[in-house]
Amino acid sequence: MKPLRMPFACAAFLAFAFLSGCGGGSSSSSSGTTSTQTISSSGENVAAISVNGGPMGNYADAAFTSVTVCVPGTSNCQTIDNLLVDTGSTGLRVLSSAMTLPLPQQTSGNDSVVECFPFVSGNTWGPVQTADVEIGGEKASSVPIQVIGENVFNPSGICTAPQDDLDSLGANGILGVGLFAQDCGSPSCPASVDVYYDCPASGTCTAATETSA
Amino acid sequence: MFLGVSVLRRLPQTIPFGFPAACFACLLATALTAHAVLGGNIASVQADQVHMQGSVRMSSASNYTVQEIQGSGGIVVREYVSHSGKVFGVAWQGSWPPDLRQLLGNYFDQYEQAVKAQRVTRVGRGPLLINQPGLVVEMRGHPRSFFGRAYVPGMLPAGTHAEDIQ
Repeated sequence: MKPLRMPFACAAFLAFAFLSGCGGGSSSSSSGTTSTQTISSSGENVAAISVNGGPMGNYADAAFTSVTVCVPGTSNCQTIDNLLVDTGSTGLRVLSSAMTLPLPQQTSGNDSVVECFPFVSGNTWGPVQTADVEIGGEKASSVPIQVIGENVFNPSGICTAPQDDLDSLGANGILGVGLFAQDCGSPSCPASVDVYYDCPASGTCTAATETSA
Repeated sequence: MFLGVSVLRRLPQTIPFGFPAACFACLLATALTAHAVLGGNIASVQADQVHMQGSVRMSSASNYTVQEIQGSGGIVVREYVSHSGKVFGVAWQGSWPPDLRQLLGNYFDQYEQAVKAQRVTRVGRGPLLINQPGLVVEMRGHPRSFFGRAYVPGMLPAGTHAEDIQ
């Protein structure tokens, strides 16, 4: 079992898109006329982002993008839009309400691997599942993603202040574009930090150490 | 993870015959104090130490003492204790946040309600600021680098400033 992993190529090209974005945009000349600069062209290894208030309109200008998620090794795919682009975290997290695909669950023995991933504004709770992920024409096969808000595993008492629906998250998910290959720890994410949990089919989830493969 | 809860739940199956009653009382006491930290007495610092599997270092200022707990997961928590023995503020830093339910004790529900209320008007991934008459909670950072503090304004000892809690 391994913690969420961001395909390096994806991180690299998205980072490029942002760097371009920082230098681009509109500018006003001293004469009062406005010129518009094209930030980047379309093509391989480029993903478009849009900056707005998000699907619920409750963000003050955030970057959103789309990702195609597939059942591993199949053409059973779905494009998820309105994913918040977050440069402070690593990995892909998608609301279960925005997903229709039957993705395979990652397991630890007989237990399901479930994650409570902390952000300053709240935590995302949900199982770790496996998907092929495609961004800007680049595909990563069988990477772990977090499916948020799937109510199979009870977060009661464990994952506080969860952001597990469209209202509280303000996006269909979060695409973390970070500098790390894993979302927590390397080579392992210790149980003591309460990020990963092993959950039996029924009963209480237990904090667990997850080691990257 | 929740030491007190798990101890209470598992004891009926795991107590060996003849387990001394005093040990049971001791474990029960630990469980009962495990949810009283911010606003609690100095004994609750020990509950945090047990919960975090950490070591404690103490330092003193003129109006309070600071109990710094270094947790096994690399999370550092500082608890500010008045001379009357009350924890009036806590601060933390580390790759991951501490267990806020444990650390905020009786103030946790107020914190969680305030966080949810803020989301009605605004969501975002910027710094968190809860500023209520009876509770202030601030947190910033991002995964792998979190900083935060919480204090009860009315409990600050005379001559102590909010800026001291960090």
